[in-house]
Amino acid sequence: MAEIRCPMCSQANPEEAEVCAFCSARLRPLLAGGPAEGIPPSEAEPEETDWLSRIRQEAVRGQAEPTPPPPEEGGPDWLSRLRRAEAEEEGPPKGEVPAWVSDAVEPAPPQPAAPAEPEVPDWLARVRERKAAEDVPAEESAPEPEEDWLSRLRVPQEGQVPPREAPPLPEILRPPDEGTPAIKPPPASLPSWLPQPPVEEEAAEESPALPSTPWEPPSRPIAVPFSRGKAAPPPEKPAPAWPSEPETPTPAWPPAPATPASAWPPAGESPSIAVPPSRAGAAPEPPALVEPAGPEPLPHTPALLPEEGLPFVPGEAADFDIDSIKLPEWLSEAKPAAAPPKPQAEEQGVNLAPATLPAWLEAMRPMETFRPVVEIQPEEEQLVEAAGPLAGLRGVLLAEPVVAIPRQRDVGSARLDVTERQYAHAEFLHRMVQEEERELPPAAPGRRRIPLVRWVLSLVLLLGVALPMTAGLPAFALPVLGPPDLNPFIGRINALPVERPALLVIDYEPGYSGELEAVAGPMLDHMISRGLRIATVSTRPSGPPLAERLLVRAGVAVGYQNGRDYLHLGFLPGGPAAVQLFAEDPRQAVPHGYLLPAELTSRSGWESSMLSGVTALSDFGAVILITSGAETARTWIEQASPRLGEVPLLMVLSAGVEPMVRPYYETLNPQVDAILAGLPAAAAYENANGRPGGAQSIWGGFGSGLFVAELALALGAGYGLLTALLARRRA
Amino acid sequence: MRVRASLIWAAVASAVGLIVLLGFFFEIEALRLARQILVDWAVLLAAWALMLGLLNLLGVHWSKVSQQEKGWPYSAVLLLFFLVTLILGLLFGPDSPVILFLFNNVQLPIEASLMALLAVTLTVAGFRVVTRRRDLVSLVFVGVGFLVLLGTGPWVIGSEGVLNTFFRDVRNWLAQVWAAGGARGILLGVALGAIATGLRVLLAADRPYGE
Amino acid sequence: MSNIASLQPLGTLLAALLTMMVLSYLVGDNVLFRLAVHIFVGMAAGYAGSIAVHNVLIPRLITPVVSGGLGAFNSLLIVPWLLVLMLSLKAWRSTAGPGSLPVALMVGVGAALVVGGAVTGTLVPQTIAAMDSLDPRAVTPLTGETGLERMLNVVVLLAGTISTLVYFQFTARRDATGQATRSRLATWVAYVGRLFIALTFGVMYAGGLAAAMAVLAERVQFLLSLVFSFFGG
Repeated sequence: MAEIRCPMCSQANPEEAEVCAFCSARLRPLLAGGPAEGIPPSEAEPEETDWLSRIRQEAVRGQAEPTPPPPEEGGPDWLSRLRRAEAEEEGPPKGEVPAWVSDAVEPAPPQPAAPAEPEVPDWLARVRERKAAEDVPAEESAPEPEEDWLSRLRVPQEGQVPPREAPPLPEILRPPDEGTPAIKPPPASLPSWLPQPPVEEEAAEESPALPSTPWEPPSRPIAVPFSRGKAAPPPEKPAPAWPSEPETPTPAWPPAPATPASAWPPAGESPSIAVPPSRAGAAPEPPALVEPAGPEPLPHTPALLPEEGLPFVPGEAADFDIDSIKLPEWLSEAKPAAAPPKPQAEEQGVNLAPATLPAWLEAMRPMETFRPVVEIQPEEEQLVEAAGPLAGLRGVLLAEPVVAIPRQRDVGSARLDVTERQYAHAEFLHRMVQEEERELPPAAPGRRRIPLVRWVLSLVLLLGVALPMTAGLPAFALPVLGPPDLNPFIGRINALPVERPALLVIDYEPGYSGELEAVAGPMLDHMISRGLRIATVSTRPSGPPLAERLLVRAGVAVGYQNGRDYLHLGFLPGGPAAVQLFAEDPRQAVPHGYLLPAELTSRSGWESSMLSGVTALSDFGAVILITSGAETARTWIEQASPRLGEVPLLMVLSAGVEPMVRPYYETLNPQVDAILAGLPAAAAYENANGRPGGAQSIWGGFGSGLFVAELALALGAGYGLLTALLARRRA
Repeated sequence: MRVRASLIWAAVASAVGLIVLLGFFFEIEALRLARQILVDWAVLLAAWALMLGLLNLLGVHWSKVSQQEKGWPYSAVLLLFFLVTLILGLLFGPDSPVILFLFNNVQLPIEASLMALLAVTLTVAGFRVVTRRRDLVSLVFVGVGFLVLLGTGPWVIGSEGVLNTFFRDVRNWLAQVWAAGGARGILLGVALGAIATGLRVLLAADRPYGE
Repeated sequence: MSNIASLQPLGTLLAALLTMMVLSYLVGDNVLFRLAVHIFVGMAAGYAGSIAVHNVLIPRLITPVVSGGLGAFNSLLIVPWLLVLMLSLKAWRSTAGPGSLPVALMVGVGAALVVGGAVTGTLVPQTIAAMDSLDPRAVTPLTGETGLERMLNVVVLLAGTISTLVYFQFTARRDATGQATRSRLATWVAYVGRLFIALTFGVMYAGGLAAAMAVLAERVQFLLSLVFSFFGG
């Protein structure tokens, strides 16, 4: 059985079908103004006055009467030009007419029997049955395959390229047959400037009421515009007075209907528009829709918008009963034109590909990206939908896997390239945030560690120091030979001039008094024994009282007196600046003394007789610095030694300072003339003096303490070595 | 033209420093006089800065006592002795018997005792170094210290023996030659650093006096 | 004065008590130790303030004005007064600006003295001393060493000096990997200098321990003498 392809869903339908059984699309386009397929010409309205019908007729007549109608007297030129242009409009070139257009005029050759269709749902089967009952047999009129409706409109020009033959006029554009009722607007619904149709009571009565719903899909499929089909035979009515030039092809307007051309607009109502005289008096007619053959009911399609106030209940047939819908007269009277029989020669033609458009139409399409050309596969190769309401159908846009599986974007996708460094940073940041959020457990009370080593060493040290002082054991012999530095020092003291006072600088902390008083003691004894006068000064606040302690200890026994034998010049703040100032001008640097005798009323030690000849640093017999810090020693060396001249600079140092002062001493041009450092040197000095002093009194404790310290270091070294060996053996 | 105060301070420091520095190398009377005046002002300002420091100490501990922060009783004791000593010293003089009594019987014993604690601390520290650290530098440090101690203090027996004499000579050799070489290098390095630091101040590269 | 002398036994007891309070730190940190330390700090600060006022500020600022009157306010007196007053403004943050002038003066003087002293007192003399030590004719002034023994000592001395100076040089170059490294020779010499520094510090450690031991011995002797004086009569 011959089949026709649906232009929408490309499903195969019987040849005689007007509407697709699957998607209810029209298989054959409606011709505007043309005779509806299947509508007997006798049913055509005897008086078709619609303008589209008229145009259709004119188009049809235009082929037979290529001569364009003479220009209308008084008519505007633009209209004549418009009509001329319309007459000159080209139609699709031969061969590029879509097959479905051709099929509309020349039905496609019968297709081989379709393979057994898969099981279809019940609702679809019902639709098909209904459709089958509504199928209109093949149209009656035989097509004129060789006659192009466009060519009928055109007038071949001398020397011009003959216009390409257009395919036969599609149904929608065919003029309606005689008797075919033209679609008339309801009475009194046309604007006043349009020619009013003759009043017909039947038409008024038959005009269906407008549907109650705001919008309802058309009960019959709307004809595809510009669908072309075989042109209907030219009506017997005179051609419209188109003011077209005789030598220009007539535009591909649909032929005017058989009914008298309606005046559009009425000449009386719109004098500005020139209306062909043939049109005068003709009532405007809406385009005659070519209805499918047979009054078959349209498939039920529920309204998308329910009536106001009414709940939308899909499936409720009360509001969607097709029979209850009253169509307008012009719509209901439009009968589908009979499908033209398919030419035998084209039985072996390919089915129409719905997406294939004519070239001229393709060129008109604004954008091609929206609708890429889709190549429709043959039915056998098309996939069968397996899910959803369209299950079992072919040619359906598959829901899976396109919808079910999310697509991956190609360019600029969500894939993120992360480098190792970025990952490390992100991890670090994440850990930082986690650390901030982490609740720290309350700090456990720290386990109190017993300082066993410190206790043991403290106890042993104290016992070791105390034991010689109490029990006399162990007994340490006094050093006979002193260090190599002792003799030069003793020699310097011996060489000091007696007439000039010696300057004693007391720049040590009270904490070192236990050592330095013992170290400086024999020196002071030596100096006092020689009768040297001593002046003291200090750059520390605690210096003057320490100086007093020293001199009282050393000289009280021999009657040394303050102000006569010794004098405290006082305290000089400022560090290097003070030393520099004192070295520049001692009298100005220390204007006020410390613990001055009462007879010195000016509160300045410079009034004393022992300092009468002293105005500069070089006037002293010697400068003896007693210090516990290397920095102080260096300051005095740097600031004072340039001002000393030949005056010797002697230093009494703590044992820990000696290494830092020795470079100033052990040179060919020493800046320090002699040093006395450490208790052993002092003990030897006392031994040399023959007068026991503080050094010898603590010599036993000192020696015992050092012995304990040496023992602790030795034991610690042994313990460390043992643990290292054990650890290495374990490893 | 508005001159920033910091530029003035920098200019003063540089100018004063330049005058004092030139006095080290040039014996010019005017330069010597200017240098002496500037140094005299510096000594005076150092004494006044000492007073300001003491006032700051007073303020810090006073706030601790008034707000009863942690350890405020100790701050109260400190303030008590500070004020008593200062008042007595201002009234009777720092060389008065009262101050000397306090110095000899309070300050000196405490400070000496703190120094005595150092003996135990240094012994414990030396013990820990030899038991825990086993690198060459630590070994040299402790080993040399041990040898110097051996040569410094008296021996229980044989203080004048050959061994004692030997260790005493080793001690002298270490202290007078090896340590002296290292000490000289340290002194030269310290001097270079002091020169660099002083020049930075004189050239206004460093401005410890504020902006 | 005699009253103070009669208080000497009390003073001795007080000294002994304070000594024990400080030595209690050997057991562990305790209240007595902290109390003794705070007493020391307070007293030392008070004494330093009193001696600074008596020995410096009064003789230089007050006495000239008192003895000479307003006529004594010459340029040599006005400027120190102004400087002292400006330095006083440093005590408050809002007025600390003008106090920078006297501080700048002190800093400038101190920096110049440090630079001049370092150059003339240490850098030049020590460098000359190092060079003089290479003189084979020189005799060690202290020990009298000459000849090979002295040269050996001089070599050791110079090696210690140079290697220690190299150790304090942290100038390096960037290699191909961008890491700052010194040359191999400099690295080895610096390591030797580090050993010399450790040796020097070892000698200083022994000296410091000896000094502290002497002080400890003096303190223990003080305590024992007091105990003996109490029990011995």
